[in-house]
Amino acid sequence: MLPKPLVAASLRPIILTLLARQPMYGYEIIQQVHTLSEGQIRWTPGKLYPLLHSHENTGLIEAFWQPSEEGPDRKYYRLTPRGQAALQQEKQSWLDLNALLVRLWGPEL
Amino acid sequence: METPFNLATALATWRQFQARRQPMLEEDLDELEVHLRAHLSDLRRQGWGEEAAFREAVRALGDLEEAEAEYSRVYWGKLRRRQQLLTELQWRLSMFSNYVKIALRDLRRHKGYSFITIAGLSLGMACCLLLFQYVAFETSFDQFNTKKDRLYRATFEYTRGEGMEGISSSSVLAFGPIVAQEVPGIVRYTRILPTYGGVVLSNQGASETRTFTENHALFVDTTFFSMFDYPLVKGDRSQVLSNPHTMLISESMARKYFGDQEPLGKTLELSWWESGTYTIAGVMEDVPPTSHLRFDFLFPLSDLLDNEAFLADGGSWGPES
Repeated sequence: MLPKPLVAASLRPIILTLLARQPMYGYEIIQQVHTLSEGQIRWTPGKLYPLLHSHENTGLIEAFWQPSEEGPDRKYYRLTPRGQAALQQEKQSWLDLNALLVRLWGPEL
Repeated sequence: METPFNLATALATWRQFQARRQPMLEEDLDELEVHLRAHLSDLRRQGWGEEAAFREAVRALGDLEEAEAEYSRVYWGKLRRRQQLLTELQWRLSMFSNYVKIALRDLRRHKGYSFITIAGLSLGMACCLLLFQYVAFETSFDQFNTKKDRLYRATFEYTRGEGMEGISSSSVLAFGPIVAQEVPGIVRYTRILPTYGGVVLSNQGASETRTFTENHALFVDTTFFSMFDYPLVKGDRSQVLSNPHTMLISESMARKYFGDQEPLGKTLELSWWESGTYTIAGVMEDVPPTSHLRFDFLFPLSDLLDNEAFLADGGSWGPES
């Protein structure tokens, strides 16, 4: 399991990246992250949903309800153009950070 | 005894419990419930029992007490977003008045075309309404009779030698009693004889004599009022036609002959095949325009059946119902 602060910090880039690929609903996001992180990250709905709503408020993502075969309608989220731009910035920040760490831990220093 | 686990009830109870959390909107609960259901069906697919799966799914939702704080952080933003939706709606509404303005301007610019389209449409609608009116009127005929499903009018097809065939909307007086006797399904019959050519009526003896030729007078059997629902204003339905030389008169005709005076008990002089003094035993409401029988006066048919002059003249060839 990853330490909590790191999980919290990575929420935003992961969500934006996932939604940039395709619209998803909450449960699906949690499952995907769990699988892709090989069990390292398991978000709780109580954390994820308010965050999604906050992104919705700031206009990074937008929600729409869609019927499902399994029961009640699902609330799907997708990225807005503004979210796209935010994702690019986020990506750059993480790459910069990553580059710094690599350099720090690398043999050349 | 422990009640068996019911998923729908459990979900409803869970939701009701969460609904007390103030910053959670209805749609947030919807979202959480869908989440719960999705997890639940995944667990079921893995072989979990229904109740165990439900407990596990609820547990995996995490501490919603804690989540409540997160939800309240985004609560006002959500409300603001809804406010935006409201302003959007208001804007659209205001646009509507703009559309009307543009439409009016367009109408003014293309007067000729506007006239043709509007006039054409109005004419079409007017025709349509008129047609509906007409059909409604036509189909409403005789609907006021409560026994309308059991009432039949006897018609008459005849052959008088070669090439002398025809159909008549009426039959003969003798038909009623005979067919009522012979055919078991017939409960009652009444014969209705119109007075072709009109009868002459006059209110002799009154201060001012009024004499008219009336075209809407019928001679009918005593059973008439037990078959039809034409309402009486005065007089007893079961009695009015049973005495000879009594008659019924419609409200408007009563006014015509007697003015504002009480018509009941007054007399009119009849001159037709049957003549004599007739006492008014009842007053009828005017027959509605949707009745196929039209009459202002009713006389007892029995008076006419005693009239040899009438019978000798082939008068028995009258219609009946």
